[in-house]
Amino acid sequence: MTGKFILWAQALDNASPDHIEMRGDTLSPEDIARRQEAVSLVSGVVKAGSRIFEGAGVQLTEDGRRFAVEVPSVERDRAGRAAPIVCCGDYDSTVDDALGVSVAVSLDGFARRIGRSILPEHLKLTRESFVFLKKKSSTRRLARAIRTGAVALVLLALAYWLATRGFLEK
Amino acid sequence: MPVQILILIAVGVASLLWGKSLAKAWDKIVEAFKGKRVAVLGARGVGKTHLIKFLTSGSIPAEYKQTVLPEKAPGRWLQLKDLDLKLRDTLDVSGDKAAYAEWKELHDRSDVVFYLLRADRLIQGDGKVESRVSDDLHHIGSWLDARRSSRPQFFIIGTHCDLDREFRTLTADKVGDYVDKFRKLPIICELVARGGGAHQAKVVLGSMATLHDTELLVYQVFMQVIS
Repeated sequence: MTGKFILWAQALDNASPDHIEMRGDTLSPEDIARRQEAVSLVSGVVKAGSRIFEGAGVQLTEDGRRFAVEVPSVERDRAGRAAPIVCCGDYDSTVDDALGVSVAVSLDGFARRIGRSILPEHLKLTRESFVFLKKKSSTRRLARAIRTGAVALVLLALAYWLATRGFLEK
Repeated sequence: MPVQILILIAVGVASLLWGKSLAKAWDKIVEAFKGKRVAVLGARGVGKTHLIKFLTSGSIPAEYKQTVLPEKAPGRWLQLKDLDLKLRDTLDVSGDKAAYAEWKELHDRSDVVFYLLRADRLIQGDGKVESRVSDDLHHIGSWLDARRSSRPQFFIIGTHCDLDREFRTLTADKVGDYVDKFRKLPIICELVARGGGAHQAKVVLGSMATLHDTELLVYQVFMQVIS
């Protein structure tokens, strides 16, 4: 499941390189190109998208094709700041509850691998936040269907008008 | 004509000229920051989020968290003491080196670049901080060079000075010496040189420990425009 996502967390000492996994690979500090690619993909969601859920430190942003969710971890950094973990991935119009579950499992696994932990209530909230993505996606699908229907109706009306005027007759 | 009248006229003319030069200086500040897009860059934990929060809301964060997911920061009119400036929206980005591409994008569309660094640790000779600043310098320097015709104003802002005992115990007349000492650090000399020289790259030192300190620091930054 982790293979689908980008997982990203800052080091707690604020000096070591950030922890980044992309589609199942742990990106080493020397893998500069892929690290920058991962960060740019995540940033792109925020730049082009909008936040659709925010609560108890969990934030979900989407841009129509990708999502980025930020979840607090239990640990704090050396400066005493909260240290969130980010998961970013693609989704399509058929998004369902399984995506939220998959993201929560991936976040939990990643947190453990880097020696961190996420509270069960934050993982639950992460799963639940994807209901908003599902809703947004269905609304977008409905809007697309309405737009297509409207265009079809206009074309039909035009064809009818042309037919009644005799333009379509041979 | 009695001497008193001559003195009064002289005082009047002097006041008028002084007032005019003040007004001119003030216009310069307002013009320099009117509708400007600001890029706030720097390593992790230097205070980027804190400064952006202050610039975009006039307050400082109630709770601190690492910036992993970038945060959109809306533009606003900034009112500070007698300053009233319009700043455009910006983005609060991660301080990790993996975010250099994001930094470059911010830099390339900005009119003013604030580069933040931990002055307290640099003054103490922290090799890690120096090495990181050197890496940042390498990147920012090339971005600045690429914008030779429309170079942004470049500010080097040394933060966390309150954590340096020497700074905390400074008397007002010794602040200048402290700033000079900081400016003479080889890495700062190099930063200033790559930033376009002392005229183009300004150095400001201070603390953001409290709202008042942050106001003072930002005010200092804005006042540098006319120096």
